[in-house]
Amino acid sequence: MSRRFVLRRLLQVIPTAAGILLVSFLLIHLAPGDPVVALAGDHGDPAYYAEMRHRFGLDRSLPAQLATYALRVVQGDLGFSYVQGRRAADVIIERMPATLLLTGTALVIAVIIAVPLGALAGQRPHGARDTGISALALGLYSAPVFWVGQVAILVVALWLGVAPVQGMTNAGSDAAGLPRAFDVLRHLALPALVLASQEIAVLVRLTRSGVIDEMTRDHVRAARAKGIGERMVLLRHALPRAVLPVVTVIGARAGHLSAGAAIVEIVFGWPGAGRLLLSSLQARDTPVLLGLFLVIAFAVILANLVTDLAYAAIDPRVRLG
Amino acid sequence: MFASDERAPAGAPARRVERAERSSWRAVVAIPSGRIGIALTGLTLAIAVLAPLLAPADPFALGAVSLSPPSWANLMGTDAIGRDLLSGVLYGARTSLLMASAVTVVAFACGATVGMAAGYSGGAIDDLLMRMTELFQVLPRFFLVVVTIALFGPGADRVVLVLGLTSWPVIARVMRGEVLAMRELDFVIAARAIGAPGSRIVWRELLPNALPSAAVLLGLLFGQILLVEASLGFIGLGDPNALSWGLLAGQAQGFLRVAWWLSLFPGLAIAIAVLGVNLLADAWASVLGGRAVHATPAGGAKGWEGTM
Amino acid sequence: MIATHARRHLRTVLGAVGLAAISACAGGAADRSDGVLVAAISDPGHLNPAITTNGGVHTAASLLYDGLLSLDDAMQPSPALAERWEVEDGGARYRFHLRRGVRWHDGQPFTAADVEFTFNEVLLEFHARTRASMGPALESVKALDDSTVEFRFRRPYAPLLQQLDVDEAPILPRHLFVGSDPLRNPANIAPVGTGPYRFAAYQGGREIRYSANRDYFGKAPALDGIVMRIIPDPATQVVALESGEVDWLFSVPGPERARLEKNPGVRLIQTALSPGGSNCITTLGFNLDRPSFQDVRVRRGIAHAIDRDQFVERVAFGAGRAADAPITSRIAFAHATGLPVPAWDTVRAGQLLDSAGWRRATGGVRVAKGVAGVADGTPFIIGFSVLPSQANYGDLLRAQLRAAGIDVRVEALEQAVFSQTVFTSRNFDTAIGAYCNGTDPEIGVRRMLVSSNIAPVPFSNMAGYRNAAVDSLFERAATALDVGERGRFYRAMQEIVVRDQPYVWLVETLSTRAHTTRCRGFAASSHFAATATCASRRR
Repeated sequence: MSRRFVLRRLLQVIPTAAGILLVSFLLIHLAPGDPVVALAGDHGDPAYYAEMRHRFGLDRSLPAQLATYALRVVQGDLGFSYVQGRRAADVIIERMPATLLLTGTALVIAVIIAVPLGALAGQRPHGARDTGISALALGLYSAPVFWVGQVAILVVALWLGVAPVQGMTNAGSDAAGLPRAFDVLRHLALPALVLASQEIAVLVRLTRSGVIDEMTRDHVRAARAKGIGERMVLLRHALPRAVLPVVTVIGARAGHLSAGAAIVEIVFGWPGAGRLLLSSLQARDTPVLLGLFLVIAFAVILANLVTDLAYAAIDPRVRLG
Repeated sequence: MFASDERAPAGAPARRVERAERSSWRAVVAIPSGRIGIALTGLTLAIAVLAPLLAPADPFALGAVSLSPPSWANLMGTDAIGRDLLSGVLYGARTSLLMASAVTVVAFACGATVGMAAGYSGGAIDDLLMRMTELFQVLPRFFLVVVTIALFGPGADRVVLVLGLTSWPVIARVMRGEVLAMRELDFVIAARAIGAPGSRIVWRELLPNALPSAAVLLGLLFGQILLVEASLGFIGLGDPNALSWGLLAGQAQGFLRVAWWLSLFPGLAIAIAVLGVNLLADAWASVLGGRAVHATPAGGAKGWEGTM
Repeated sequence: MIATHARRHLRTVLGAVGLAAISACAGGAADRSDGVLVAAISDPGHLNPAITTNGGVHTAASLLYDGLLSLDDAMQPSPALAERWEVEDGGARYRFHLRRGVRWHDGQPFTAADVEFTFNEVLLEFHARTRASMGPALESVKALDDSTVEFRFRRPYAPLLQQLDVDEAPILPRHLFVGSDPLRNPANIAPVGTGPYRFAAYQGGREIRYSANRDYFGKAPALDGIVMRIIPDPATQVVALESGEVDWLFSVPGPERARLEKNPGVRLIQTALSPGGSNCITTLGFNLDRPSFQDVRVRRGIAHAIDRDQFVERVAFGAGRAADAPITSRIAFAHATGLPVPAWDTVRAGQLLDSAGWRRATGGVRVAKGVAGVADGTPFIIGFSVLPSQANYGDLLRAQLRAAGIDVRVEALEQAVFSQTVFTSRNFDTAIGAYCNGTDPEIGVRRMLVSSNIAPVPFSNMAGYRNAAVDSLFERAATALDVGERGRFYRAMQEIVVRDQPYVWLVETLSTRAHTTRCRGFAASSHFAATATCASRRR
């Protein structure tokens, strides 16, 4: 990977991040009422408001305000959660591991399930297998994720009774180490599968069209001509190149994934950022809500950056582009 | 310059599009999934338009029995306060489809403008617009809507505005790609050669020809917005005065185990409508074939990435 | 039959496989200490019940603290931190003798200085109800010595003994709070109290753990500890109860109650206590500042268009009774029976609305003609502000008033926004209020009717109702010491108020707690688990 590409891609992050800061700054200023209320929540006392106003520069000219605000946010100062009386950033960061665990697991499950399915579907397009797999993918993609979650709870957790209904661990469990890991895993399985179902739909289709594309390429035809078996052609020659786009799409779907995760967390009582979103929304804890927006936005930028760099590392053509 | 000369290059592509469209539709119908897509989408649209004729009752009026399971009197049952769910689902189609249409229109207006301006101008303007597109593409839409409602209060207008103003990047990219590809085609060069103004070339020549590719994404976007609306209803941010599928699905939550019909039918309605537009968009993409692949590197699938 | 059988079989097989797999891998993960698992609906955020009336905080924090007195399930006061008390000056002076030898969970001794500090610096500043009800009448709270506290009032104040329990007046440790901002004190998330349980751990969004306070001055808890699981979805809570994941629910959603009643492994407790107060009446308030509602015929017309029984049946799912007076039937001495409350009568409703100038053409929405302050031709569309959890009241009201030619626009507002919109900026047509009457009209009824309480304070006089006769009857009822005499004043007051109809009293609500039969000895009150015991968990 050329150093120039990496540098250029890193520099691209700056305007994007600045734009996101601008969006949240605008939200605070366009919201009805005093901006400091948007920033600090409407439960503060005058002294607290004065402090916040000063700290975030809201007592100065508009450009200066933006600069101060941006500086504060970049330093990780998102104000105070008025519900918890703690730094909003701490409140949010505390929830990130659970959310990352859920989304990470869902992504892994999605890739493990979707790539083989996509390859099978793409091997013989419009065959019975393809039709079945594509219909499944499209069906999953068309159903609201909370609905899929509710159905999963009803059927898998209640009716069959093979998974816990909610939470991340058994209540009051003091287990540590391996037993704890298994406990978490048991609670993680169902929400992760539900969240993965959305990604599976996309990745299946992506892999499928990639495989269809590759199967007509010269190098695949050459391999076939050499008398290599159809399965080996698929696994050795078509699939590796066909899954390349999957890498980029994972980054591009980070925003979608985080939204889906928020809904799944609410359905399954998973104690991550999505649950925090709901409780902050109900309490109108605006510092936390704005903070969540910023954190998720930066996470999406980061995910895009990482996947772009990863893609470039794998596929030499991109570096030239 | 003669009027007739001017008309010739302008008229040709328009006719070309018309012909292409007619044959494309026939091609869509030829694909089985396209037929299903057309049928489901048509069904959804018909329900939305004809809701007052189809609905057996006023969706807000009280029936004699509350929480009645599906029966001949109430085909989808009644809700906790005794309203007919079938009527709610039929009327709900209006709100949900209207909202998704509004978002799609706003997104298309923004996306087409930015995309074509970028593609046609090239150079620094293109660079700048594309940077802007990247910014909007990474904005987490769902969280933005939630924060907006938290700060500004609930309401369909702001939801449409926020979703519309953040959903256009994929469309802008496709439009730009189409325009870049067409910029050097004969009829565009001809129009430029005869001195047609840039805006005219863009609106009369490029837009109609880029539209089919954008339509794929607009279809997918439409489906996504239906899903976002449902999710907002689920977390209690729906407008309680406008019956929508999301609102019905949200209200059903407390009744998951005592009244399964309350979550089943609105969820099914959403799934069917979304499936319909997705199938249709898909079939359309495969009909466009090479052009769609060119616009969306992964053969239409790429349009799925930027959801929520 | 066959299908059911097959299903059961499948379930058994899958369940066995699942269980085997789980127990094989989980090992000791399912190890649960001999405590009780309870479910809370919201993440409290902090655990200081003195600075808020938020139900979630009180649910989670009450076990850690005590009030001077405690209230039993019948809301009768009994000794807690105060051992005994004297009432002097006809109810204008109260002296409390505190229990000796009580220690905070951190070992510091509890004294009268804690009580004085908590009232003066915290409760009267930050606890909305105590501040609003006791504050205006209170002259001073003073520690006379280490174990005596005196309350002086400007006028006789009858309901004080009802307002000193852990919900209305939890006592905080002065040594941790003195000289700090109570809203941002670290002890808010690592609380130190005197209560039957000690704070053990708080994992944001997940659970709160408590351990038994073996040195509790009352009966020490039989349980080792409590784990409060935060499960934000009511339906999921029920599922968790039925599957034995939790043993106690503070509230069972109405629709699920009938199903749970049939479950032999579950017991239900119906109670008029709720975290927000007791004996609540869900009430619709008219904003009397709005021209449309200044005409009593409109208010009475709307009241006639409302079927309260349907609210009980379809919104409260039978848990409660139709309200038939401004004072709850649970305050027997003050509740008036046989009042001329407008009954459900759509014809009468139509006549009243017609005569007030709201005419109806053909089954549509009424329009104004000659209504003072309203332009002719204005359609009768009224806003109804509710909390999101009360949206179903809005749905039913819309349906009922639609039949009377009135279009209702429901505005579901989150708690903070609701208080701001309704009580501070008064920007509403009609709004809902779950007015908890408490055990004395002074606590929960006076505040919604006297003109001096039209204030930007949550659950004050929402309607903006002013009637000098009502004001004076409340004064006389508050200072009269004979119960029969007070009752007569309250009856006279209710007769006037029902005629004026600034509110429509809808439902006297009850809430339902539930527990598994594994555990027993729960109470509906704040210290719900203080005397609970549980059989050991068999897996």
